[in-house]
Amino acid sequence: MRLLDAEIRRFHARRMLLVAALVGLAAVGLALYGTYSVTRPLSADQRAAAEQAYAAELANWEEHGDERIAQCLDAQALDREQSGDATLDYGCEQMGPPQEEWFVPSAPPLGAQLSGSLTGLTFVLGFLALLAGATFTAAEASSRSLSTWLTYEPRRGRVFATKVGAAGIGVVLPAGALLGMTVGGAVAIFALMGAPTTLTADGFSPVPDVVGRLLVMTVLLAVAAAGLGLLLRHTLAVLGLAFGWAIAVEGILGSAVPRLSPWLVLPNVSAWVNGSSDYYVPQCTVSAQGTACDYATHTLTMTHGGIYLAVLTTLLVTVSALAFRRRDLA
Amino acid sequence: MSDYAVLTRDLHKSYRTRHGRQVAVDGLDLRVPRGGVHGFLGPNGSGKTTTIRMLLGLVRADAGRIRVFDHTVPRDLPEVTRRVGAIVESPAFFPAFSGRRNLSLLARAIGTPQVRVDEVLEATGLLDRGGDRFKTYSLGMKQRLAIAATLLKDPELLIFDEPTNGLDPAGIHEIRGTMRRLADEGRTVLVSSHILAEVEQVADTVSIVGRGRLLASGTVADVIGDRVGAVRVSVPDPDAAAQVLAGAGLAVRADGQALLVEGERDPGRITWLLGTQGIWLRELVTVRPGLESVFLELTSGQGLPTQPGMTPPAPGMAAVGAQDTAPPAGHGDGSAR
Ligand SMILES: Nc1ncnc2c1ncn2[C@@H]1O[C@H](COP(=O)(O)OP(=O)(O)OP(=O)(O)O)[C@@H](O)[C@H]1O
Ligand SMILES: [Mg+2]
Repeated sequence: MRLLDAEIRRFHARRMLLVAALVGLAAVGLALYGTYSVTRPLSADQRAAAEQAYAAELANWEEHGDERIAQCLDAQALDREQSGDATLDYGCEQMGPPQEEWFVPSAPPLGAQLSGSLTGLTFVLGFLALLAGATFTAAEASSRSLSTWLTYEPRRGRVFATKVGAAGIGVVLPAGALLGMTVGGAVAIFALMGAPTTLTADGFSPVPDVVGRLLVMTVLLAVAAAGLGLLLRHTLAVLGLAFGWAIAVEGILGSAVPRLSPWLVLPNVSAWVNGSSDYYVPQCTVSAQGTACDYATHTLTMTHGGIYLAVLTTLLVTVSALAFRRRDLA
Repeated sequence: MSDYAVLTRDLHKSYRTRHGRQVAVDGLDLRVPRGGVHGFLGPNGSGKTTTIRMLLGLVRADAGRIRVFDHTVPRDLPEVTRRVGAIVESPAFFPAFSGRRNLSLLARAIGTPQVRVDEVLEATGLLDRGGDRFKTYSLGMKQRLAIAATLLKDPELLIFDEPTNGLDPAGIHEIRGTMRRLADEGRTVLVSSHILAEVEQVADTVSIVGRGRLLASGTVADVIGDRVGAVRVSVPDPDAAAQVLAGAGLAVRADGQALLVEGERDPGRITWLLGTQGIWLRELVTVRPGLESVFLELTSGQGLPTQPGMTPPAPGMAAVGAQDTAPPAGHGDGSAR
């Protein structure tokens, strides 16, 4: 426990964490600016233009509306006749006059806006967790201060576990603060702008769930990165591995072979954070007319993503732990 | 309780390198008595640092046994570590943290009260610089911080690996004083060096290693003091004196205006030989052998690097007892683990 306490203190005292937090703050600032722009009332000019456009469309409808419905019904009838399918429905009854909110935008529900802002932070948070975790262990492994540390606590299993654990625990506070600022900031902006601040998110994941899952992702990434930092001993090696993998395997190979998606990191991160993630596998049929391709939609579930990330982290940490236990240290 | 703070038996270690295996320690039997300063001497690359790393569990031995305070290392390291303070090569701390924060983290890790941090900073004269980043420290300050760090544990055994590397004479003097003081407090100090002069003033006992093996060990007097390299004699008439000394069976050669007389342990006999012939000395200096010459003498003609056998002790010196180092037949890696 003392060891873990010392490691967490060291994690929080590092300058790299401060730098990462500042980058995170900038990202949160951008997200909040986005929130501000959707709640911002229109300027007089914009409002006048929007109202003018609405009035024009309305007038147009009043003049030609019946005509359009008739055209629609005609086209539908013709299609039914030709295809012999009497159930074809062009939805002509739903045609109606234009609505004012189509032209004069109003703020989306807070929940929907927040879900978008939060999931938009996935990449930045993930990168910062990787950076913070990897530098935490790699810097000391390459500076030999790790050896000094081991002359105070020689049990390598404990040393490894507390370092990796401290990286995981240590990111909760800064990441939680950034996410809290995103949520709090959005609520404050909605309130200031007079938009409704009820936290329902129709069709989106509930906000507390998204925050929770982002935190879990951040912790897992920091833990995996800290393990890799001890294994590879250089921050650049860890980042190089991560980005090399992301580009070569996930980007190039993944897009060439979409079937691999369930086994790749990025689709699983997306499934975990967003609640699900779709990928499309082409199904082509060759006929006399040529090759016709359809895309079959497959869905990665949130559970799949979560289990994938947990198993991957466990694997990486186990490999580095085994290497660390046996290694000769300078 | 054995009389030794550190005992190693037939210790082996080789590193994997690009060019195959590099043998660093090759059947080392090291004995460090409890209490006092023990010099661990050997030229560059003789395996001193590797041995120290094995004592601390940083490096895994290929074969052999290590006992520290009667505990088997690395198995019992958790019991031993608290009693051992070590500085291996140059002091290594978190460079961007202050000296105080570095010590504070170590103190927290081993459950030493935080008040002790300022006490050890004070004891090493770093109190007013404790808030500065470690990387801004001078070499001497880094060394002092490392000593302060070992004192957090109140260790019974202190291991210093070439602690005076890069220090100025004042710094060297200070470190020597520190080692002496620690030994006088009843602790054991194991100090490695490749410079004899650095250690012989402060060490009570020494071990000399070469190519990963023990060449000699014992008190400083036993190992080095007895071996007067030569006596330098200045006389008005060197030629006449040379004749007298050569006539008495001594090896004499010219050294500038003076004579170097080898093979005579007692300078008084030289004075007497010359004096009875009416040749009066202007100056007589015993030239003490450096580690280099002791080392060369110990290894000369022994086929040290390749022959798996022991190095026979030079006559008249307390080299390693034959029964201690005679290797078993078919001696090799893995024999003792
Ligand atoms: N990490 C390593 N990898 C490969 N070879 C090594 C390593 N560390 C040491 N060696 C080799 O092992 C041998 C012993 O080195 P060691 O550092 O133990 O000697 P030393 O007595 O401490 O020397 P010095 O007086 O120069 O500090 C040398 O030949 C060295 O090149
Ligand atoms: Mg060395």
